[in-house]
Amino acid sequence: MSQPIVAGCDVGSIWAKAVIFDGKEILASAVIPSSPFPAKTAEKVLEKAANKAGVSMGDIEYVVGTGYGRVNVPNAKKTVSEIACHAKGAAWSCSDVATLIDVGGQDCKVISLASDGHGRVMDFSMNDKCAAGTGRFLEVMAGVFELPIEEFGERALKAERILGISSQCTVFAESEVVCLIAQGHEIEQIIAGICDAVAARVSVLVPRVGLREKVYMSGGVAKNIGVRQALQRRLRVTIWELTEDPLIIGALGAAVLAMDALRQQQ
Amino acid sequence: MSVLERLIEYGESNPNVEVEEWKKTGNKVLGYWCSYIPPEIIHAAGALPYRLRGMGATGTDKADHDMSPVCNCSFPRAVLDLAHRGKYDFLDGILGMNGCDHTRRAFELWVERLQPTFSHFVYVPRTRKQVSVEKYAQELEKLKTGLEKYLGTEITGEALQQSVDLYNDNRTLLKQVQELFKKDRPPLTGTQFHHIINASVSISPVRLNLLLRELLEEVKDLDGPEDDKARLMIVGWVGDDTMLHRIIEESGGLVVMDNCCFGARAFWDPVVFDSKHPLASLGRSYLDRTGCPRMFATFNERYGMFQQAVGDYRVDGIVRTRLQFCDLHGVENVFFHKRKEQLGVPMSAPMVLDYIGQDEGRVRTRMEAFIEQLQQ
Repeated sequence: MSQPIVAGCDVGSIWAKAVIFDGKEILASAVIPSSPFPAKTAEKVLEKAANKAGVSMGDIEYVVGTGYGRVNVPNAKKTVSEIACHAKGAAWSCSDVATLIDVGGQDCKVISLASDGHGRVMDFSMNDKCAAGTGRFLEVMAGVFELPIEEFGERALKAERILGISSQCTVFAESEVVCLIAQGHEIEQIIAGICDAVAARVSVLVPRVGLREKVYMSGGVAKNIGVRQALQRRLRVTIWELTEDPLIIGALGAAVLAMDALRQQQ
Repeated sequence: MSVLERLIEYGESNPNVEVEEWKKTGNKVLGYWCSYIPPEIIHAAGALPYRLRGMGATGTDKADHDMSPVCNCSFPRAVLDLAHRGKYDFLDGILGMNGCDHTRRAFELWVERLQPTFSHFVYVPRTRKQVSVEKYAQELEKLKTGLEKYLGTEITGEALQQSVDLYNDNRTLLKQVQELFKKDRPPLTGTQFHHIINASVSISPVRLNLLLRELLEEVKDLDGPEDDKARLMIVGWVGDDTMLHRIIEESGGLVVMDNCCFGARAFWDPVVFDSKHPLASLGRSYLDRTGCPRMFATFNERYGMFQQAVGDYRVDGIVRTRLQFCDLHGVENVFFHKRKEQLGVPMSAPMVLDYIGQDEGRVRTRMEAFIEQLQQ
C-alpha cells in the first residue's frame, strides 16, 4: 500500500504557504502572496503545491490549516495555531531546536521546545499589538528605499556603523528614517539601524520564555541576514539555519500534524 | 426566561431593566468607580449603587479628546466615552476614587466636562497601617455626610448593618456559584459567570440575592457538557467585557477561576462589621481583603489565593493578561512569572489587551496556542 499523502497550509498575512508531505519527505511546497480572499489564496497555494508534487487534490487525505487565515483553508479537517505548527515543523527539520524565533509578516514569537525532539511547545511569547519587529515593518522600510525586500539584509551588512532608530511604532519609525535620509546618512547605516530595531523588538520577548540553545529562526524574516546578525549580536548566541526554507516551516509543521492526525484516525 | 438568562441579560446590558424599575420608584442611582467604594454606604442611603462599566462602548473617540489613547488605559476611556454619549444620563451622581490614576483622572474629566448633579471623591489609602484605616474611616464619614446631604436622608447604623448583611449574602452566594467550578463538569461556563458578576454590581442586592438563590437551586446538581476542556485561571483582566472569557472558551478552554477586577476578588472576603465602629470596621474590611494590586505589599496574599485555587479548581494553566498601560497588573505579571515554577502549572506569556476588543484574531491565536500547549 502506498504512503498516504497529507498537506499543511499556512495562510499568513503576507505569504500563503503549502507543503505536501508523505510522512517521510516533503513532496513539494509552494509559496504565493496572500490576497484579501484567504479561502481562494489557500486553495491556490494548495493546488500549486499539489501540482508540483504531481498529485491531485483528491489524493490528499488530510489537510491542516494554520496562520491567521487558518479557518479559511478549504477541506482542512483541523486548524492548529501557528505556534504549535512552527515548533513541529522546526523540530522535523532539525531535532535539536531548543528555542525557535519565528518572525512572520504580522507577528513574531519566541517558542521554547521540549528537548525530546518532537516539537512540543513548552512556553512561548508573542509580540503585543505592534507591527515593529515584523516582516511588515521591514516591507514598509524597504518601500521607503525602493529596494526589493530580498536585498535589504545584505545591504545592512555593508554598514560600518548602525544608526539608532528609536521609534517603536512603524509609522513613526518610517518618518524617522525619512529624516535620516534627508540628513544625508548612508543608506546602509540606516538599513542596519532598521534591522537592529527589528532585532531589538524580537529580543525583548526572549527573557519571557528563557533562551536555551540551540537557537533557530523561522518565518520570512529568517531570510534577512541583517536581522539574523543583529539578533545574534543582541542575544549573544549563534542562530542556526534550519534544513528547510524558513518560510514554509509553519506549513511543514501543519503537514506533520496532519500526518499524526491521519494516523490517529486510522 | 430562565434565571440564568435573566442574570446574563443584566450583565450584558448597561444599564439593565432593573435600573429602569428602580428609577421608576423615584429612588436615585449613583455610579461608582472601582470596588474600593463600599456600595453598602450608598445602599444604606437609599440609592442604588451602580458600578461604572464600559459595556456597550464601541469606541473611545469622545474620551480620547481629553485622555490620549497613546498612554491611557482603554477601560476608563470606554466608560468616559459612554458618559460623553449620554449613556450614563440615568445616573444621579458619580463617586470617584484613586483606584488607579487612569480611573481617577477619568472621574475628574467627567466632573469637569459633564458636570454631574452630584459627585464625590473618596481617597482610599494604599496600605493597611492603622493610620490608613483611620484615614479611610474619615473618608467614608465624608462620603456618608455627602450622601446624606445630597439625598436628604440619614444613614443610620441599623440601615448600614442591613446593607452590609445584604452585600455579605451576595458575596456568600457568588462564592457558592464560584465553587460550582470545582466540579469536573461545571454547570456554568466562565463566560456566563462573568456576566453574572457584572450583573451583581449593577442591580439591587436584594434582587441579586433572590436571583442567585434561584440560580443555585436550578443548577447546583447539574453537570456541564462532557468535553475535555483546559481548566484555566485568568489573572490581570480589568473591566466587565467578556471578550477574553468568550475567546478562551471558544478555543477549548474553561475559565474556572480568576483574579479579575470584575471577578472573584470582588466577592472573596466578607465585610466584618462592628456596629460600635461602623465605618471604621467597614473600611478595615475593604483594606484587609484579598484585593487589588493597587494595595502595597499584598502580592503574597493574592499569590496564596492562586496557589490554593490551582489545587481546589484543578487549574491546568494560568492566562496572564493586562490592559495596555496598566501598571498595576503589568508589574504583577512579572511577580507571577518569577514564581511560575512554584505554582506548578504553565503560565501564558502576558497578553496585552485593549478593553474594546478589535483584535480578536490576535487574542484567539494566542489562546488557541496556549491551550494546545496544555493539551499536547
